[in-house]
Amino acid sequence: MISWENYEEYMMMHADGELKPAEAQELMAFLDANPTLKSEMALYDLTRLTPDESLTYHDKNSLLKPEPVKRVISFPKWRKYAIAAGIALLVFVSLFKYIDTNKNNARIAKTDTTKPIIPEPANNTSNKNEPQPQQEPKSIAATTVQPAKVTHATHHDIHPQITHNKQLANTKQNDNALVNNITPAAKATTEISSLPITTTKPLPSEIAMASPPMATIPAYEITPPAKPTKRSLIDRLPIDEANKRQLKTIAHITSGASRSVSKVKEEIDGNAITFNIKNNNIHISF
Amino acid sequence: MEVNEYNACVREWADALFRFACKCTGQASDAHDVVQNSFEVLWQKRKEVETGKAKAYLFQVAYRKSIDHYRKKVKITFAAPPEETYTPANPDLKKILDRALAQLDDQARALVLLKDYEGYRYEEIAQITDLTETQVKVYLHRARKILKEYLVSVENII
Repeated sequence: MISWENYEEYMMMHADGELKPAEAQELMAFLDANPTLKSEMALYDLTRLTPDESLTYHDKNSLLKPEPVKRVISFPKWRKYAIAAGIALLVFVSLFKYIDTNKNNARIAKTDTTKPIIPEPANNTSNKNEPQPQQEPKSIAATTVQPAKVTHATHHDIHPQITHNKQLANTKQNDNALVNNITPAAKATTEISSLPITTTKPLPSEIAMASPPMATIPAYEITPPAKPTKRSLIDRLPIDEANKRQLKTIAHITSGASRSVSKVKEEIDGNAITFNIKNNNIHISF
Repeated sequence: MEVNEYNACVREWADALFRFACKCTGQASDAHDVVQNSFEVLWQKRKEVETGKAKAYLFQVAYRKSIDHYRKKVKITFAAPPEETYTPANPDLKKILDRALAQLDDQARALVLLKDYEGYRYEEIAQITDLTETQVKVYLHRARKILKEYLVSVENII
């Protein structure tokens, strides 16, 4: 609140430019109320100094410090073009390589996904060059390979190879002789291990070559599981056969009616409907 | 602060600093020394001083140098301009105010110059001069009153 006691302080603050807008307005209102103080206010405002622009420091260069000069390396024109061409070539080659690699990766990924995974038999070292089958015969494809039982099937896997490889056959014969010489208990275990459940998938060539001895073993013929016949809801009901027949007749009539209703729905053409009752066409428009 | 930033400070603030030093010391040659010393200190402390605070730092150094300069002198010989009359027909208020400024002590003069020439606020002047804000306000108001009374006395003479 400005009063006669503190008005001078406000005037000096006004001269200093430190009054807030509200305080400046209050001071002006006070001066309007006391016009005799306006001359004093003008004198305080006159005490504000203004800088003399004519006074300048002429020796600025003595104060300046040398700035580090930036070296500019200039290339001849042909070098600029050569560098630009080199960069462009590098980018083009990299891009081409990148696209090519991507294509190859995509091809590999595609073949990997379509090809079925065929586990290699444990002793399949001699048949590496033989073509791998893409699809197994139906009877054999039904059998699933159990990785834990592969070790038991090693003896059986060698058996088809003997038929088409004489050298290997000799060794196999020796092997069989060895097998025959082992104890009956051990023989029993080998026979168990040769069951079709534990076999790995043989190659098609192996199947072709080993088919005669394989045919003699009936255990290899795996019959596909019979398709479960669909039973209607009526068949499942715990009622007599006579009642079931009646129910079926009712169901047949009902389904026929629903079919005819749907047929009528289809025949509705815009604002008209045509249907046939006892060879009489009835057309209703609405 | 880098070399180029220091040089920018020289180009921008050397004149203002010289005007301030001129009014504080009253002698152009002394002001020249004050400016040179101030920039020399800034150059030495360039790693510590931020670019945005370089101006305030320069005025702080110049203020101290000016005060020291006055303290060394037994009597201030302020080069006041010759007496001139203040009339509405010859409103050379600037010269009259220069004479009025010579009536002030070194500290009050420096405060008025920092306020009017550079437009610093009370708290900024307090930082430059190492005074409190209240002290700055009191000293400044005392100086304003002296200047106003000088103007009134000139008017009375006329």
